[in-house]
Amino acid sequence: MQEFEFDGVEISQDTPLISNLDIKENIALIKEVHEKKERQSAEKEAVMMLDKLGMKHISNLRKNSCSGFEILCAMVARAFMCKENSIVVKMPFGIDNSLNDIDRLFEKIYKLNGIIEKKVTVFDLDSNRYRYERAECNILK
Amino acid sequence: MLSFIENIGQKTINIVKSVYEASSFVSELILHVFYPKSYNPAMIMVLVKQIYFTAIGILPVFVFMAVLFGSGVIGAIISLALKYNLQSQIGSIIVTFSIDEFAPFFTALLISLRSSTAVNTEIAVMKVNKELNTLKKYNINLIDYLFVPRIISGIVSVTSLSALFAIIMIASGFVFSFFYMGLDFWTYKNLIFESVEIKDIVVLVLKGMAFGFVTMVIPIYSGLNAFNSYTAIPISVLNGMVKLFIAIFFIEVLSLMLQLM
Repeated sequence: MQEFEFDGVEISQDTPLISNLDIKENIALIKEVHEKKERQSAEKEAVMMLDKLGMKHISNLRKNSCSGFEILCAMVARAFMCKENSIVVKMPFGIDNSLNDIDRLFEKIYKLNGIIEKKVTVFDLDSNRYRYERAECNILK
Repeated sequence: MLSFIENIGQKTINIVKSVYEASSFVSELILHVFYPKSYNPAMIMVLVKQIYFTAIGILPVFVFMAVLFGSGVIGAIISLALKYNLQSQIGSIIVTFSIDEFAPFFTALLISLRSSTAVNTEIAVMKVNKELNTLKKYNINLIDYLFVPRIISGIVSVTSLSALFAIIMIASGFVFSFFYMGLDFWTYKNLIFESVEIKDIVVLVLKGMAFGFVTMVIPIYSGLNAFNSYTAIPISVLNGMVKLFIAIFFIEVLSLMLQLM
């Protein structure tokens, strides 16, 4: 089996949101730590990204109050805040068990790609291949 | 016989290994406290929140406990001093007992019960929930973001609350001196000011810093060493608290011995 090596940012069940921070704080944390950006400015940027995703209402909520899809989108927004140009989403259906249509996620990724351009790769099991066949993406094996 | 010797050897290796791991962790923590690059807006926010939870949030209960226990203990000391005709030494007895001994020790116990348990649980839960893994994957240094703010808040909180406890105890001492010995406020004030030495302040600050350091380091280390299951969290807190209380008593005994030398 061909192995893919990525230096990018990981979005998976192994990289959950921090539960004692609200959604905007989770997203802003990256800029505060890596770019030493002031909290207010980083949080403003985080809220702007959530607004772009149509999820401004979850800015002040903690992950326990959000749906699986909202958490997944917040994780994507957080990854877009990183300096790395490539993002790897590992098994999105495992992160959000209620996700039926992968296009819902791709639609959000395209929206964020309109602000910051990143190369996004989704890793999934071959048994989930059928879920991607109608989506607008290249499938590699 | 051979297996007995092997067992002793294995246990010795394990002890040396865990002591080495703990000391390298502690020395890395101390180094990071002094690294300017450890400080960023996110870390400062955690520090502010930690100081608020550790030192400000506890204030009403702390003042109540200080008045209750401080008055009781200082009352007992004054009555004992009178019983053994130590009226002339009353100032230095109150100062030594409240500033050097009781205030830092009692503050460390209260902070351990409230904040150390919380820190131990928080770190263990973050580990089990893989949130520590998130921070690592996103290149956020755990020591800078999570541990250094807690260590600094522990040191600042225990030291400042110890000073507050000592002030409350000394103030309670006046009430008892007034009723038992008929001392007026000015005489009591002069008695205390004459008895306080620089050494007492140094002891209070050093013990506060040492207690503050251990009340955070031990729970953090214990939380980090929790196994990856929810049932491991209470075990981690239990182990952490036992080690913390041993450390607090060890520091107290060590400081007593150093002062006697």
